[in-house]
Amino acid sequence: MGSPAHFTLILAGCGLFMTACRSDESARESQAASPPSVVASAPATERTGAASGLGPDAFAAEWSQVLATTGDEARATASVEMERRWRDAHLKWTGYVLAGLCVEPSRTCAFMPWDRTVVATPPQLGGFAPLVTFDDTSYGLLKIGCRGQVGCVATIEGRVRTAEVDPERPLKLDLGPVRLVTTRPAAANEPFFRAPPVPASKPVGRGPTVRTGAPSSVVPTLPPRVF
Amino acid sequence: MILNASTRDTLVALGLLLAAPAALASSHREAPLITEDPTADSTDLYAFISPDGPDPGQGARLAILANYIPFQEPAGGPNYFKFSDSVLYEVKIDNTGDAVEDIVYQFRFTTQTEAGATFLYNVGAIDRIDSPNLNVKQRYTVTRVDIAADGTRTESVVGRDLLTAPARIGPRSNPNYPAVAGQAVHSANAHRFFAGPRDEGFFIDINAIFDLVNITRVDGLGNGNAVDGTAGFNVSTLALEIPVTELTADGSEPVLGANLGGPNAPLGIWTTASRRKHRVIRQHEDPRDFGPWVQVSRLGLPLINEVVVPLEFKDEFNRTAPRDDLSNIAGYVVDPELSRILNALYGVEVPPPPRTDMVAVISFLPGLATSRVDLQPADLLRVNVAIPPTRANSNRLGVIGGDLGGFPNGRRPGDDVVDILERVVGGGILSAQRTGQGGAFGALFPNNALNDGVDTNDVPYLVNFPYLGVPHEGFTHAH
Repeated sequence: MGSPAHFTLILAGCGLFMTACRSDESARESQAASPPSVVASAPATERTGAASGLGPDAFAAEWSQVLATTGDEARATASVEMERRWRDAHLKWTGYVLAGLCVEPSRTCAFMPWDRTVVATPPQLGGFAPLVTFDDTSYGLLKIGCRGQVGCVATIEGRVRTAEVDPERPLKLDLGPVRLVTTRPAAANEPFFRAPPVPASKPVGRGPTVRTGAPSSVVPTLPPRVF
Repeated sequence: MILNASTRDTLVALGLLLAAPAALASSHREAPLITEDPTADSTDLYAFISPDGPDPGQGARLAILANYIPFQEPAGGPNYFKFSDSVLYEVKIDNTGDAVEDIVYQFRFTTQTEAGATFLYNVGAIDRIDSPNLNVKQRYTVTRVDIAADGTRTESVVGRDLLTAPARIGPRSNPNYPAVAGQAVHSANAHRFFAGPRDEGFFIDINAIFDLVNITRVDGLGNGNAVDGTAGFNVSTLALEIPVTELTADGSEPVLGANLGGPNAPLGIWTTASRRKHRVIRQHEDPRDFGPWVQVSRLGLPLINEVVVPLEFKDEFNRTAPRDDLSNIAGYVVDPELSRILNALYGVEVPPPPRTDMVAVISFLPGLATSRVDLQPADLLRVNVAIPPTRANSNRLGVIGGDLGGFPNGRRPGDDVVDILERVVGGGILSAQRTGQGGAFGALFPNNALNDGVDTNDVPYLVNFPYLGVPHEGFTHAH
């Protein structure tokens, strides 16, 4: 991927509180560890090595080797730099917003930008979807502008609040508060992803399935969630 | 319905292709790394209101079954399959809709070998669960963790030193296995627990699918001689049954009404397995594990990591938490790769992205929870505890079969998630508005009629806790 400097964004510098920056590994461990965690140290009963017959000094040496092997410190340093480059970045994106991927109380939506250079892999191709939290007014305008449809095309503008990264790329972006610039219901055959042009021989796009003679269904009437 | 040849060919192709997600529809060996760690490999998760208990409003209980260790050969002795003593198994419950756990049940196992001077798992008939003839005994402790909104954790041990059910070896070793296994159902602190081997309750023609999707023995409507590829295998089950009042956010027991049980009725459930961060292996000692727990496996819906998540992200997905699914997997969900494959290679008409019908699966189908609760989309097995169990005439297709007591309102052992998910991924539940086809929601044909030809399990399920069938016996069994 390119560096963030190549992106359509305005870098506003990193947050001042660098200690708040998190490496991807620490973030993952905070997700994973349900019981109280002991980071980079072992429980006292295990560190003594008494049960195994290994003395404390030998154990400490072995433990240092373990830490060195995992490369935690080097990765953390690189991640801090990457996080600094993303945090507080001001972004303006156009893409998809789907009603089913919004959480109403927080007005947070998974956003699917069309610009494939914005994130390492766009969500339309299986990358992560940046989360955007609309301000009160904008979320109301979004619902009005989408006119009860399940999907909308929207242009939004906002600042990166948190960025989880690894040394090479962002892993997750959270923007807010986000302002709605424009919105409209997605058209029937709106491209979900603005991919680069492809040779005409390759299949592009697909119309809605139209068949007749469908059997009656016993499915309860469950309406899709709309804006 | 009589089909002409052209339509039939199309259906065969559809069945062939759309069974592909079915092959992966559960969670057996679903990601590269977890295949190297089978004791931590979660395979299936079930959650449903116990049909052998009272209805909602009258003391209903929720049954949760979490299966681990796939494809267990019943005769796999002398060291039979068991849970790992070095894995932390957890069942997590979200009762506020934010995809964050509010209640956690933790299972830790300890194995004791009573006589080390023999190679035998047992030295005589195992006529009771604590038989002295059972040489290898495994016990477990269950800890409940309640997590307050401010993150405060309150831990309480709700089951201690509970014996697991033994392996089912043969008639000499297990003259009355069902009775002995029944002794492994433990009641403690208003809960019921079971841990041990069960019949693999998941059914699917997996054999054909991995032969380059060679489903030539069944047509697109499931007619033919399909083979239940998981038949004859056992699995290790963690089962617990909990009063609904112990699970809802306000301690209430929701009942069905105009508001679908209200905001406390939907629960989100998933299971995880974690290992210590570090393992030290020395020449003449057993390995030692230490450091913080790191999650290596997770499972909620029998769909996401299999059908939706691509190979390159599967291992990472097993390390992530549901609260991050909205960001991590939204793109996969609304444009599943399978649909593009179907279209590009075979011209099968599947709905174009964004697949809002797939979103419905991860955000609980509209109509299964009150609109007053906003559930964050995530890979959770969600169940509305106000909906009574279906005791008669249940439908293997669950909700899309008109049976609100089944998947994706929770999941029962007999729910045919393979067929259900074939139809979901194939767009069979898509609304008329998206397809322009007209007609009722879910009327997209033939996408709504797909199946793999395996509709039932090889072994009957139990009508009582722990519900999954008696495991196969090693002595009489041969694959």
